[in-house]
Amino acid sequence: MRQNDFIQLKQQEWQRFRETVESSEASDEDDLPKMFRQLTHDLAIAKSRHYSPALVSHLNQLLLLGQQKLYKPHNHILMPLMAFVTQTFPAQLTEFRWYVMWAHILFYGVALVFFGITFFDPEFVRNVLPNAQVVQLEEMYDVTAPRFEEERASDNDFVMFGYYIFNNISIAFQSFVGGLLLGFGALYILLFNALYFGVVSAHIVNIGYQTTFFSFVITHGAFELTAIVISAAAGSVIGFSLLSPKKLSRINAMKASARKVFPLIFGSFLMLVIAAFIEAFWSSSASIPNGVKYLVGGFCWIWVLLYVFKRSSNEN
Amino acid sequence: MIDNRYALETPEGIDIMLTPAGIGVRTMAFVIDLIIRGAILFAASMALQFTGNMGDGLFLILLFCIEWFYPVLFEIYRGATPGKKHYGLVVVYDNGLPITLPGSMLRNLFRSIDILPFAYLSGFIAILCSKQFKRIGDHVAATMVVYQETPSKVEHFTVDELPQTTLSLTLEEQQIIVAYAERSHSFSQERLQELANQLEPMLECRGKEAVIKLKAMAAGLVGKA
Repeated sequence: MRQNDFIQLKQQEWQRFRETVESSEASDEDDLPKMFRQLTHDLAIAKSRHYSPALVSHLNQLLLLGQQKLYKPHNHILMPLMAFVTQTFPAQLTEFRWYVMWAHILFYGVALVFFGITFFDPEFVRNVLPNAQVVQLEEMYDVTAPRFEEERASDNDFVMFGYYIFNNISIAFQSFVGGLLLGFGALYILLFNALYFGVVSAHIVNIGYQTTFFSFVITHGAFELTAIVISAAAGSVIGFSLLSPKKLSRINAMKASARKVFPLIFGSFLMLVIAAFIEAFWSSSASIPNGVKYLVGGFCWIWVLLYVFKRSSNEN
Repeated sequence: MIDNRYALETPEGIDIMLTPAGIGVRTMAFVIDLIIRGAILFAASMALQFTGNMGDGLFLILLFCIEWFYPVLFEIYRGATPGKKHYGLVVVYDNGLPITLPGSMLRNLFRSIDILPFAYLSGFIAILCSKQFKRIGDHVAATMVVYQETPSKVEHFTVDELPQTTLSLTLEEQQIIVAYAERSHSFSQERLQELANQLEPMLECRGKEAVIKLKAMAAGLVGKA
């Protein structure tokens, strides 16, 4: 059969296929799967009979449209997010619980050590922070400062929210990319943050500003610190897969582990957004009594730690 | 044939061809998106400058949203950002299907890695090293950027006289002649003649006459009389 006769024979079918695909509603009369299969036959025939490139690419494009219509994945937003929070994230946390646990131990261990050092040797803070930063820190949490008396205007809260989000998310990604440097990058960020956290909190205690400081950090710290630790754990999973790729080549081991730990990164991204929100609108509020902040903060800590360390029932 | 097309095998057992978009056109698309985002932010900063601190905060949130969600929103609802649309590109999964939220989030979150160390250098290198022109985000999310061609009508070409040649042509030669005739609408008359002139020894004529003769041969091949 010559090409033209073939086109004459099939043209109406192709036209109907195109109309079916392009119409927004699928009617029951047109059996799209059947039409699609027929079209694949036509393309196969066109190819095997060496019909012209224009015809082949025409059928090719029609098929692509059909395939996209036929196999289109759903585009739900809320349900996958819920499934992520209730299933995927806990399952991944359970799978990598040793990494998460060791990251926690390292972070709080190092933080505690440096807290101790700074607590007993107050001058140690000068080794870690430049003087200007120390002064700034002291001003920030000064108990006698008048600004703790009044409520910060809500427009300022918005400014801080935007700022915190940028700040936090860059930390999570640094950890992730740090994992690519054999995990040392992730470890460095984890230890650096632990050191900083330990030294700063000890210094605050030394100068007696603990009420303003701890009431400020307790609530969002539950989300923020845990998220940093989790993203460091994710980074070190990648680093470890490079060091010990098992049966895969190093590059494939890295790819596979990156895909596996992505839920951890995305989960800590969500936690950091929550943390930024709390930090801007709750932690900094002066009208909430410290007792309430400690209570809510403590509750958040318990909930977050339970969420992170609870063994997920459906490991997949 | 040497081309950058990518064969996608469907469950029905046929290859659908996709054409991944290269570095040049994607850079151009990115520049257009950059201009659009810049314009939105500029307009917002103009409108918000009278609202004081509150405006600063809203601006930062807007900046955050545009930075992270501008590509995501356009990709999941329209298949590609306006810049990509302008060049006829669309983002699809490796299996050719339209992109959805998780894939789009992934590939756009990883922009922050592609952008390292400056000006998308690592994304640039990743694209150059990949057959399907994938940047790192595309590798992670298993997506790619391809040309979206709407099914074009098979071009009809008109002939005035019937073919009278008795040349024996190989299959490949036949296909080339048919393709020449089918694409004749998109060439200028001069270009058509220039191409036909190369076959002067075979056709034994030049210029307009050669073009007509070639088209007539093509018509004979596809069965048009």
